[in-house]
Amino acid sequence: MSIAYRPVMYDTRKAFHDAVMVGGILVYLALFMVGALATQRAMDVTEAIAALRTGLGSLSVLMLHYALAIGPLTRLYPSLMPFIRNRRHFGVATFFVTLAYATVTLMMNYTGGAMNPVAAALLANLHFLSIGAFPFEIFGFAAILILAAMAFTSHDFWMAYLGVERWKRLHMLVYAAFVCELLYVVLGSLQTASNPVYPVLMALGSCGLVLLHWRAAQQEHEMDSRVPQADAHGWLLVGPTDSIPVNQAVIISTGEERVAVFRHWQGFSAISNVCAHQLGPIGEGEMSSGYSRCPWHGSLYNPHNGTSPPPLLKWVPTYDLKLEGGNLYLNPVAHPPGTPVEPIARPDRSGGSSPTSRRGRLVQEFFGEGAV
Amino acid sequence: MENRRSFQPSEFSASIAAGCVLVVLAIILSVSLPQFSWGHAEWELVQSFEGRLRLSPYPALELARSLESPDHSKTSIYPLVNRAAGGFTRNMDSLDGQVVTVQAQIFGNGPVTMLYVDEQSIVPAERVISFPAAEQILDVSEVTVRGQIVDVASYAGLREPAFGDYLRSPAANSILAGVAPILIVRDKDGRESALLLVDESKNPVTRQVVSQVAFPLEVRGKLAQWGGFPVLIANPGNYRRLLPWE
Repeated sequence: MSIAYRPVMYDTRKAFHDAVMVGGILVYLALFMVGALATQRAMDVTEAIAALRTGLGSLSVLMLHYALAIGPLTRLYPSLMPFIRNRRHFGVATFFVTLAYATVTLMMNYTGGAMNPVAAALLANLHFLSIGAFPFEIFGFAAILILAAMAFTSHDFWMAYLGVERWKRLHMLVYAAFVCELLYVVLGSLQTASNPVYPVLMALGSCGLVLLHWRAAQQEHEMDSRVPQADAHGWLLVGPTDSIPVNQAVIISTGEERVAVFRHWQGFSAISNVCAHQLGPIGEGEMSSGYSRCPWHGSLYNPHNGTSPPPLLKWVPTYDLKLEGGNLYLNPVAHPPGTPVEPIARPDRSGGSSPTSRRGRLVQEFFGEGAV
Repeated sequence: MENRRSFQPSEFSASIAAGCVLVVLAIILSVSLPQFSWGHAEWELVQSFEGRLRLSPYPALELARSLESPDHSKTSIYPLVNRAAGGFTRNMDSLDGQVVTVQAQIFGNGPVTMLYVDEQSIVPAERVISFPAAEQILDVSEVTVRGQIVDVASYAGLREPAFGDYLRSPAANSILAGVAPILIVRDKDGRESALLLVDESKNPVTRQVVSQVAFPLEVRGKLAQWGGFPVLIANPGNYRRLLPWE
């Protein structure tokens, strides 16, 4: 995240992830070329370029698989959450790899003809009514246009300009890009593939993605439909206070929205679980310096009022909590975003014995509540 | 409350697993590449050739043979492909039939050898001592063959794969630019032959065959020779597209 809209706001972790990503891309291409050189009878320049083209194309498809898989994987395995922080960088890298593939393909196959390369790729074959001879290049162009739109808007400036919901809808087009790439490969490259490895791997990859999304969706649906029992006033039972880990949250479904109920040094607070930055799950992150940190991109929220620390301008709805008989209850009616709500003090701290010194708060954050 | 799974891979173990998958896939996918054709492209070697420029039916250079060939032709025909645009973009009519020198790279694949030329390098030869008479297309026999159309440049080694569905658009684009279309036929032992396609008047076929590129076809026509290059004389309207089960 960046308040001044710097192109990329790096921290050590992000830089490390990017370095691993770029290294992975280069290692893959190097291995691919070595493998091709070792197994081909002989290679001249044309054939080396053809091998590089296939390497770039297969890498693009693999990267798109990763970009689509990491979302549902983090739903199923929250420990993988750190990988999602670099998903936008990964998406931009996927676009550039795909662009490199398209450039090599256009230069190699579509130059030296009656039409310019782009026109040739789109217009030289007009068998739109034939499945076998369909001009598959159109799907490749559609995929690259979608990836380009996503890559150019992969920045907080565009998210603020378009609004999170619209920006998110635009970036959901990654599924359309995947389908286009799939059709491009199936109708194009695979038609001339004599080896079953490529079609089999493509089919396995697609089925794997569908399965992963289905499983994650099933889990999310189960979570949403598990609305806790309500008391006579309609407040939802969160559970005993001890059931919430220190400096963490439990996530409660109200049937319409998910709410993160945090346990922090001052007691308990509830805010919306949906991050205002990119709709990430705030409650799956941990508390840091008195703020809850969204695990996707590190957006911070004060659990008392659902507000990001200055100068960021992000707010999420807040909720009322009450403590009855050792159990916490949540009022499912949300306050407007940014509304302050007094935290519910822990039963053993009802006398207001929360540490007031900065040192005391820090000790409590790092070593748990028993430390102070 | 949220249900978290008991097995949670660490960031490190997940990175190692992803790296291993990447390495394994790179190896599997690269060794599974189809074998490239036996074509040979001399990209790095530009040579000078002296021969007779032929513009009809397709641009070609006719080179004198040092030994008489089994088909008794005294010259060999090598299709010419312009580096920039496939076909020639400048008017060469004044050089048609003349002995010229060209700077070109050799591209060859099985039965086909083409010269990849810069059209600006085609100039009249400075002195010509003697040159055999120009070869004409000579009919040999009636045949019915099955094969696929591609442009001579793709097949000779400018592109990989040499022909097939993947090259439908590039081959059509080349043929429209004036690059010679050839029919690739395989005998029962899998050996490939390339037949230069002309119509019944021995004129070039370009627009007539563009819609048939990369489809399996059956063509009935007359087999002929043009300076050792096999030629199929047939009416493009009679090319029959084969059905999948044929």
